[in-house]
Amino acid sequence: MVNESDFTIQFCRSLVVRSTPSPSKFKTGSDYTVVTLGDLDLIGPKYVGFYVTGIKSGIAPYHIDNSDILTKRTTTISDAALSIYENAFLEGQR
Amino acid sequence: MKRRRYSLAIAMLFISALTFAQSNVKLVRADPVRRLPATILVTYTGTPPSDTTIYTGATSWSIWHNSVGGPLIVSNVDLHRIDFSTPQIISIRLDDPSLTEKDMLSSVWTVQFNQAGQPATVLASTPKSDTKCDGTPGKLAFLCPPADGAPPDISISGTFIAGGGTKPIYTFQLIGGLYAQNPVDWLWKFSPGVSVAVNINQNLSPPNNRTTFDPDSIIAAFSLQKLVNIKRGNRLGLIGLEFDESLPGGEFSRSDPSSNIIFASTMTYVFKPIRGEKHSRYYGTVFPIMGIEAGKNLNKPQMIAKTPVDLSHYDAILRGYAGADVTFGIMSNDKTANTPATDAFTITGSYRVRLPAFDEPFVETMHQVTTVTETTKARNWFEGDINYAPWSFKYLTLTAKYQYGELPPLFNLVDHAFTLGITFQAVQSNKQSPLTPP
Repeated sequence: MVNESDFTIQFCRSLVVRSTPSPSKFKTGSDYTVVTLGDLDLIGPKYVGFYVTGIKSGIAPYHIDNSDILTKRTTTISDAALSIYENAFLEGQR
Repeated sequence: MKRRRYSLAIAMLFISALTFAQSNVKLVRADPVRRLPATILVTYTGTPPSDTTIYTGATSWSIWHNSVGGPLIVSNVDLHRIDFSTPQIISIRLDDPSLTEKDMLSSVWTVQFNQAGQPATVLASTPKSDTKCDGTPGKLAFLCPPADGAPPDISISGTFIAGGGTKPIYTFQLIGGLYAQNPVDWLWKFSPGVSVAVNINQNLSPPNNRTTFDPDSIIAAFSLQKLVNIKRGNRLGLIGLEFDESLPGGEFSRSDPSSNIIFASTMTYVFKPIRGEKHSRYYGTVFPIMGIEAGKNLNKPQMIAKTPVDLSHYDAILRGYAGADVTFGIMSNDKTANTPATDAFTITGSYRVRLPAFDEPFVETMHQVTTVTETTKARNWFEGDINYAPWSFKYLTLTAKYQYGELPPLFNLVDHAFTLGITFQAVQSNKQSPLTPP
């Protein structure tokens, strides 16, 4: 469970990397605005399912609509995290 | 003296670098955070600014929003809450308690950055509710073109053979699965959905004088699906397990009326893709699957392919179920932002074996002679596909398909069927996870 003060863009970036099939391909010092989801092996619908599940459970108690989670291979880690941070909401706020 | 000269040169270089760093910041996007307190995130490229005073002045930012057809409403910036702590992001808190979640979600937000002596930078957001599949403004369709290769959520492929002495023979295959986007608590966090697999006219040996469509195998079921992530970095490269529970569903054959009611439970092991660093466009995936099918025969035909049969002992059904899906793919080179990077070329192989515990019919037609036996012998099914997707096609791929084996309920042998055709495929735009064919 993540609390409000910990729910930052940096947290979302870290969660995005952790939820891809190969987080180890994101080396220390890699640029979040350059490395894409495809670079971390998010390259098929099967993987997208697990990625989305990982994101949704990682941001609890926040919620997010599936369509707000970017999953294209060409999406950068930074944009994917931004989309999660921007679109997450708490139950009862919508 | 010499040392001082070097120090001066280094200091000059440092100052130049700072000046450059300051000047290469380029604001590229503004997005509202869709929850309160009201916040706008401005994305920039370039080196994070070392001196942030130009971004925190009283007149640095002008921010306003408007809904469709509504008036422009200006919001004040909380100058004490402009945050640079995340590289490439400037977070701007708005000092406007009247703003609601709806304003953040559905308004168009315009952000203007004012810098003395420079033209203003103006950035406008796109309301999320008005974004199409490709991210451009418009209405989001329920189905989108698959962005990430096979298998899609819905796939319809059709082919036909035409030749002397035979009427055109059409074959169709429909595979689809649509699931609710959120797991349901009272269903043990499974996502409910429906899955279907239909094969029509798979026995397509000419000559053929019929023009009707004969579904050889229809499998349809309400399904429950659950994805369990496994901590990355394990030795096996396993990233998760997919559990699919098909609630009592039907297996039907229309050509020789037969139907079963079946409950199926499967588990798929999802390993991370095999992909080299050097040739990263090439990849391979392997998904082993195992499970069990249990149920009951509902309807026994008296005749199969004009051959009298006695299926009086055909009742309870219990089968072991195993197999694997293997894919080799080559990604397209197209990496433009608004066009999904699809697979230019894929070879997929899907193998399933059903191991009946009780006798089940097995229909084999060789040299136009049909034999029906009741046995527990293994029922194999193999399907291989070669797909080529020119990236501009989006929903369509050119497909060469090979099928061999037997599918329930009557396990008619499909004997080395090759087809060429076009496949329509799409993904559910709000899905939780893709289909696993039953």
